[in-house]
Amino acid sequence: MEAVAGALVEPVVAFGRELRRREIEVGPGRVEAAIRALGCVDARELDETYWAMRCALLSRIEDAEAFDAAFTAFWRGAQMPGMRLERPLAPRKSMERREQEAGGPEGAGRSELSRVSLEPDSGNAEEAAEDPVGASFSSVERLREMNFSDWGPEELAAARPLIERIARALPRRRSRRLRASHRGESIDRRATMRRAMRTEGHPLELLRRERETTPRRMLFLVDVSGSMEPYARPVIVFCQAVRQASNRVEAFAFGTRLTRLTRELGERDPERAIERASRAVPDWAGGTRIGENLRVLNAAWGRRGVTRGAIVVIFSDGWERGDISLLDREMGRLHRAAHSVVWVNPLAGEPHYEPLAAGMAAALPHVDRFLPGHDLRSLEALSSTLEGLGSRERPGPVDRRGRAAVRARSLVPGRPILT
Amino acid sequence: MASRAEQLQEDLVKNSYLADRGLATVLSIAMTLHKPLLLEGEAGVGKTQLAKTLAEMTGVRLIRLQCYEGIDVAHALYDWNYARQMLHIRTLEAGHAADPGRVDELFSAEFLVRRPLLDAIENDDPEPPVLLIDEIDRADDEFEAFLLELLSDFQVTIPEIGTIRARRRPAVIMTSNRTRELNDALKRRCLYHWIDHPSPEREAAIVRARVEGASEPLARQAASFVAALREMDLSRTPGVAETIDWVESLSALEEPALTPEAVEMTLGAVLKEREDMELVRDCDLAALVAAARDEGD
Repeated sequence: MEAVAGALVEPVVAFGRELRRREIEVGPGRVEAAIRALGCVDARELDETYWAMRCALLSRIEDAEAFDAAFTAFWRGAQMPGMRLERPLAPRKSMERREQEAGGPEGAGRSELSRVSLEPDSGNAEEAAEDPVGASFSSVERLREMNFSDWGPEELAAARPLIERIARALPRRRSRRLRASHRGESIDRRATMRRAMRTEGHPLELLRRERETTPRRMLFLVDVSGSMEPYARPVIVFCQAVRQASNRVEAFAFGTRLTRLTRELGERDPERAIERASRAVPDWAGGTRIGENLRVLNAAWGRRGVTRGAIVVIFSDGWERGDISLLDREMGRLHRAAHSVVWVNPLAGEPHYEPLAAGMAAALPHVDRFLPGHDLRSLEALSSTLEGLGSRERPGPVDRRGRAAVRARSLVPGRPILT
Repeated sequence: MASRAEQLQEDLVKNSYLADRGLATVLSIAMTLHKPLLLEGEAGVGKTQLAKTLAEMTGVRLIRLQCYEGIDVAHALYDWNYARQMLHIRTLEAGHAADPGRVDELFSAEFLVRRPLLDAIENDDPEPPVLLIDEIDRADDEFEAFLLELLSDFQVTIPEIGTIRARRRPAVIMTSNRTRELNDALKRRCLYHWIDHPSPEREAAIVRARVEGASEPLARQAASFVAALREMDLSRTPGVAETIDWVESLSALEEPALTPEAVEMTLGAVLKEREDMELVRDCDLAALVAAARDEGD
């Protein structure tokens, strides 16, 4: 068996490289585990070989499809030592698509976003933003109030450090975990006894503990349909910055369909992250079906608890092309599971904005905070709203008649709908 | 000659756990390499049950650590019995024996409260136990970091007592419902497997293995019906455990086959949310039942 394992080293290492090429993260530890796992199975059985490699090299079910494509492509050509290749692997669905994506020109066509964010000189932006010279200061001020729809690549690059700073204020909530504290309510018995040892077993000093705070779960939903196109890019940069600061953040893009971006935005390098995110979104600048997307979100992700207790932030202008009653129902479902729902609408920055879009009007009863989102200043307002929401008890249901009355008054942008 | 994985698969079947070849292979690798196995999948696909069956089958003890938010070392590993420590101090005082040397007795094994993880590392069992770390995604990052340390060398240090090392490593099974992504470093320590909902045929076989006296047609029809439910837009998809409960209720009604009336009466065993019940009742129950009967036959 040792000899077999030795002969396996080279192909498994090469296969690891192949997986990395397909953006599945595989470190040397996993490759070593795969070699050892292969030593445990009957290497002549393709099935067992497959499972041995998969359990060691795969760590997320989302990567399974890409893994299968790589496995088929790689092992079909190279004969494994002592392996019978009589049974062909069943072709897995959409393998071809994956391969095209992996091999084709990267993100050609639809990824305008990546072109913008790949500006090579964005590193200078931070210097510019921190330059004490007055001219730079006023350019930052100008940038803060410039409408997102007027932004070009330079603005986006220059704003990144500002956006990252805004994103750092994360909402926190009290956790069940306790930590040492002078003012805490509960007595730390272990530490008290330990301290009592200094005084011959007399617990003279009571040591206390209090509940720690922890980042509250957040869920971002970004509308990437045509009407939202000029606003979606800065917002996605914002989401990436928030995602960097906490691993309790989920992000989705939606247009005609829902795309999870959490993993793409988890990439530390912002440019690569944004590029991967824009490649992942298949329906950039298309139509919108908000209700249908929320339905998918509630069904597929809500069940796992992703929405439960989370602060949900929806960036959208509320132009619904689908069924309004479905939007109403699914917003209700989302609102019941979530801690709170914040709706950020870039159009709400207009002085005389009224929520006339049918989708927006249907969604509002299920929204706790309604904010504008057209410039950096409004992102700052969003950030402080989120920070304030975290520690608060769930805003909770308000009786329907009361809510309608409050709503009519509070549509001043930035003001809470519920008080 | 059957491979190790095949053998394990057969043994699991004999113990009423119907694993597919993939799961059996991965489990046999984990046992051979003494690596923790991380199981992910929807609720109710049998992640926890696998650990239970494994322990039962190999005749070893199952040690279960249920994770929850805020779980820490005092809950998971060890704690001191404070009440006994206090009493001991009083006893020493009464005998005027409370000198520093005697007080050190307070932190000896006698006053140690052993929690599941310590139990899994240090025990007198003839064979190492199966350690089930259930719903690890509910714990927080700090606890994950602690587990990472524990799982890398199976030893823990209790400052007052010293380092305790496992003589033989327990088989470790971790489960996650994926309410959040686990730390990559923790995942690297583990072998990974995703358990899917079983096919209707397999599910029917599982039900028959689990429910005494369940007729074959009934089990197959119920499995097909549940498979159809999983395709629907429910807020909580029924797992295998629900199917088993349901067939038990149906068998108790002594129905030889699925009927709309029997489904109507027992639907609460499968669907646990009011919205889901309404959704299914709004569909044509008779048609759903007829489709399940067609497929089940």
